[in-house]
Amino acid sequence: MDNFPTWGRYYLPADALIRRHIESSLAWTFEARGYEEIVPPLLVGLDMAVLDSSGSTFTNGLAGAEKPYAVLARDGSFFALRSDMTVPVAALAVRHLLPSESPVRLYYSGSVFRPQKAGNGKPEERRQFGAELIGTDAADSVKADCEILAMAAEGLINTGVRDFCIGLSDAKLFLAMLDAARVEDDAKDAIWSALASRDYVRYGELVSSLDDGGDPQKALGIDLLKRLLALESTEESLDALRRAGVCDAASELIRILDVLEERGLGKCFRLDLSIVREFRYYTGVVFEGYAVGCANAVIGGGRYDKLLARFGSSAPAAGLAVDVDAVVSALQAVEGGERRWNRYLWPNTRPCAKVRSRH
Amino acid sequence: MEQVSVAQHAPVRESEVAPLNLGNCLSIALPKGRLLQPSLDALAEAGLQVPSMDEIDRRLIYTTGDGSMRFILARPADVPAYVEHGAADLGITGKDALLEGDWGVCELVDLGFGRCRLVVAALQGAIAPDGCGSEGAVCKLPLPRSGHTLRVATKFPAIARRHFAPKRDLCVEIIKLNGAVEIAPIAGLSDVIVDIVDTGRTLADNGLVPIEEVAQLSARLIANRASLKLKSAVIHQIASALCDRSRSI
Repeated sequence: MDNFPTWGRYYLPADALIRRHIESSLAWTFEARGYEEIVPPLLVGLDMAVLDSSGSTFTNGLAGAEKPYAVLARDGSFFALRSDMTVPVAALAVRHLLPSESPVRLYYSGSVFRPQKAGNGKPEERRQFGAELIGTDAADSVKADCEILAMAAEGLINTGVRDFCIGLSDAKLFLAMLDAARVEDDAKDAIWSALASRDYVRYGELVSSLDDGGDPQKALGIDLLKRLLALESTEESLDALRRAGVCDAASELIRILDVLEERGLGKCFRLDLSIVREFRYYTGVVFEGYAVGCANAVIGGGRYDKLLARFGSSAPAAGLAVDVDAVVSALQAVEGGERRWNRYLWPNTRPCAKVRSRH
Repeated sequence: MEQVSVAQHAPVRESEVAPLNLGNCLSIALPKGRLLQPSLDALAEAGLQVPSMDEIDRRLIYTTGDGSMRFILARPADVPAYVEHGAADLGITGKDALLEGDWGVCELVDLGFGRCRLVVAALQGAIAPDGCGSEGAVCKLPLPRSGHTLRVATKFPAIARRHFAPKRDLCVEIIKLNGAVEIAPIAGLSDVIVDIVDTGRTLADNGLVPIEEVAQLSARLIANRASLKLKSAVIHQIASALCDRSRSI
């Protein structure tokens, strides 16, 4: 709110109603699959807010997450307002809930705080609703990924979003592509950051400047990098990967897409090799979904097998997070595109009745 | 660089008001000012049905007859805001606007027109060391007198801050101006300026010389992140047509 003495966000009645509808639909979806709710604290240790790995500081890559709000506690120690919920949830799970015989299934909802540049028009406090599947066997990782992805699609469908598409990729895949093109280490970083910052002009310049030196294998790899952003359909992408000989890195993805297809969710997903989320903690599948009516991603997530090692025991894990505010704008688009401030104009009363009985 | 239009605008009809950009309509934000005509030319050559310069200037928002396209006229520095928030799927603006703001948009194509340089410029003889003052020369910015802060006037404070940040031996103070930056050193407001140079005439007329290049600029096609995924077919078609065109320039 820019015209009211507050920091953070008000949800006015119409917005709050839609938000409640979305969150209860998601809670219902996740609980039906055996996920239990967990409520993480608002203030977390700085080590959970800013992750540092392999000597270089990196963040979970969400806009603004690199500069969390710090809070001075009464004893003089610093805490951060959480800018992400995956880390606090997963950190608690490995310390207190693992080892257990079966994997831990948790879901959460709450606000996250991400500083935005002035005049951006985006609230710094955002509602997030997510789920984490922690501690599955490495052999079952494809099954776990499928569970998370199917739940992502079903969750969005249950909230009422109809026109959406979730792009899938693998965090290892881009590295494999760079290796196939035998890109030097310095150039790798530059290419990666151009793609991550979505400066496709710079990416194109960097990739065009690569020289195959007459090596046909290398030429195929460079060709794949050049075509990367123009690849549209899943088949086209797979074909391009096969030709460049980096299909091995995509084998898990192919199996995941097959399973999703069998479950009748194939039309919600597509392979999207251009996804290089700034997230560096992801080790396997990564995904982000977009819905008509919302200018930002409505959902995102992936597999993060190495993240938990820093909080005690190591365990493979995967998760998803829904940006509730983004779904709100997608739903408002579904309902005709007007902002409805009057709750009596909100035509779908069913979820409201469901909410009342739940809380 | 930007010219404020004082033409009378036709009242906006109810049917043209849409808070969200929905469905199959593709909307493109165009930059007011000197980039407008080349932008319209490029889009027309890419096969789009574009309004005439006069029409868009008068209406600010123009929807094609079949409702498949919508053009929005905005100041170049505002174009990325329209695109980031999804009010426009695509936009055309200068690289300077993209560098100055930290926008969450996808930069798709270097359109090849509107080429110019962003430079640090100073009054002739004031700062440039011997032999480096010639037009187009790029040289190190020498230390100002010790104990002296270098005052920089610019329309691009964020770019200037980023440019001077690694120069640890310089103590810099940045003054944000909204135009006519070249008179700042003459008036004694600043020591140097960071500004766009096209032909170099304006600088020369005011006795300024470029002493350091900050960036090469040109017009860019940008896209909203969600639109790029949800309307990828039509966006890629436009982008590749514009890309082919810019290569042939």
